[in-house]
Amino acid sequence: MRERVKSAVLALLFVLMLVLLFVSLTLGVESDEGLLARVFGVPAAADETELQPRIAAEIRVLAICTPDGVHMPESSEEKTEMLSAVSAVYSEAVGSLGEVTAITRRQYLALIDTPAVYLGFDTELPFSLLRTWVGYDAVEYESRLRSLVVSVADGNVVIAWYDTAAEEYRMAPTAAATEQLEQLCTDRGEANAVFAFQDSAFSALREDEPVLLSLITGTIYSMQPANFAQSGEVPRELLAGFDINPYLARVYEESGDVVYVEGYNVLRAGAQGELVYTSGSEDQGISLGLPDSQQENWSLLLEGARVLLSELSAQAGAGGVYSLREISTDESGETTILFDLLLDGWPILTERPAAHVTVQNGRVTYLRMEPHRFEAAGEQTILPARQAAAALQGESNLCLSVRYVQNEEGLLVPTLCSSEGQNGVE
Amino acid sequence: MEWNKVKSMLIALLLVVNILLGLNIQAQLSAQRADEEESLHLALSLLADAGAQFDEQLFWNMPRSSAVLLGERSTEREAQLAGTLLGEASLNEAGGGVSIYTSSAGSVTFRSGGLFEAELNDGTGPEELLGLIVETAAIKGMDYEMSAEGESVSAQLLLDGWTVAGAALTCRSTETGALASGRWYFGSEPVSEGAGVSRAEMVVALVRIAQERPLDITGLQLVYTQEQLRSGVRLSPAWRIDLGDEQIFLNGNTAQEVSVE
Repeated sequence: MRERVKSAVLALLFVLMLVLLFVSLTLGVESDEGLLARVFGVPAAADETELQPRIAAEIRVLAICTPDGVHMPESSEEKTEMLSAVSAVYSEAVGSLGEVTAITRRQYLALIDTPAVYLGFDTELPFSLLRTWVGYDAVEYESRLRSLVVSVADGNVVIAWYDTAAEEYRMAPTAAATEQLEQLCTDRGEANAVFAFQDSAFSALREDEPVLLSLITGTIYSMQPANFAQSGEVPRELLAGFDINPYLARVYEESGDVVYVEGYNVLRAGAQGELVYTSGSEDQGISLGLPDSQQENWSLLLEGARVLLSELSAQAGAGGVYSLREISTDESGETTILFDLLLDGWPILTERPAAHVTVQNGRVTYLRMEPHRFEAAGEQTILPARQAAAALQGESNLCLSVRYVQNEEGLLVPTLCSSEGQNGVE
Repeated sequence: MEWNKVKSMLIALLLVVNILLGLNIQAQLSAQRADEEESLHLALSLLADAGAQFDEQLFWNMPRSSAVLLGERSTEREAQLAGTLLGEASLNEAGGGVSIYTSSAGSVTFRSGGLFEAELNDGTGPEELLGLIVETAAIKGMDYEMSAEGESVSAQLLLDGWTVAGAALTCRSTETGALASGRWYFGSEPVSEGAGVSRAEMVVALVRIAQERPLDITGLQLVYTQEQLRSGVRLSPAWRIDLGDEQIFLNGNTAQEVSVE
């Protein structure tokens, strides 16, 4: 009996020793670093982050219809704050879309009245993407839009939009909380905007285009390409981002470009600062980490491409944020995604997209980007909307939005631009 | 040597080792506490040098560090509450995270982020309805405070005794019963996502603010803020700093100034 007690005490003390040893070693260890990392200098295994759909297209304009008038954000910080405030009711509305019906133009414009929120995108989007971006399944019907209104009709929150594919106005009831929308549309500060249909001075614009009336300023930026061809080599971290092994790749110069070739994969750092990646094999492109069953899921493809571009951009020391311009999938299953680059929430006006990504079977087989470094070089007051509209008299169905335009000195200047003309409004 | 003697020696050895390990742990804990207090003391000196007016004891009374908690939305708990209030009810998943339970007794609506509405038309009074809701939704670590104003009653959600900002229910009488609405927590037991920043780091954040504008700190309290996620809610600690007529909030995870409803 005594022997058994001794054995039990011995076992207990041994276990207690292990516990105390563990506590002693982990005390003060940051939980996210991991014990191994601190004790043995072994990097903790990176968490496998599952891709989640996230909104990949910049919201070009945001307007809230308050009892006192229309309010639009006057800075990128205010826009971020307003988007955060709008997100809950917007997600609920988009996620609980009911039966869609066609409405008249007059009925649509009547909905742009308090309480209402108007969101306009810089590109045409399928409604299914909007739903998946807020975490819900894509709807089965196809509808494409550039803007939408979340408003109230017959006591219910509704979404209304102009369907660019069907060329008609549409509306659908939702289960979003009316009180939440009403609360969102109060206490928004002074009215500082109008919709084009509310003021004849803006007859050149689309009727449902919100126009900011107050003066705003933006930062002027100088722009330098991250030119690796000039330095003769691409940094190893950036090569790793392209899945190019610097020790195995053959490197050579060609017409001023630096070219890395590893197997079927080629990375060309152009003399003008462009980076072009091509993979001759569908099996060897850069993996976006999508599950096999999701390789044609646009939301996840977009998020994977956007994350890849952001990482490559950071490794190149470049700035800006990528926003969706266009996405399409051909009959062979190859998806092409084009991105614009934004500074302070405003797109840089270029003929060519800032980035072009081609994906097949969940792997990037082609990627072109032009990483640039930006430095603030002053401030610019943006042309007031009334003056801009006056210069557009005689035109119709235009949108006005701020874009970065390169001037003769190579500086990027925030300029009020119309959507069809590619030049700034003088 | 007999195995018996070996065991005796091992027991003695393990006792000594365990005592030493225990003392080591105690010493580490004491050292950590002392380091944290010294950091806070230095940070408070910086805050005073920056021109802020305050009672030091307010800061010493704050918890050393508060965890950020993650709670998942629980359809089971929602169904349980709906069953308690309505009896046998039918569920309509309206989409967008909206779940609506209805029966002859009334309706209960759950939305993402804890938004809630319950209307009973069976003669239930507001106090009774509110009591049923908060009792059924009770979860470990969370408590509530009830108050009455005029003909309505309210409940404020507390987490470890601290106010959860924006998480309150108000209940009033209707012609046929009672209506409760507001925001509450109906998710699963929250789990820690990590520790927030230390008191000293929060004070350093205040120093930055004090360098931009004068600060006369009249009150300091910990609150929890709710951030709506796709699958639930993140409960983050925040410091509510009273500056006379104004209040500012510092996020306890990032030490950045935030706005709180």
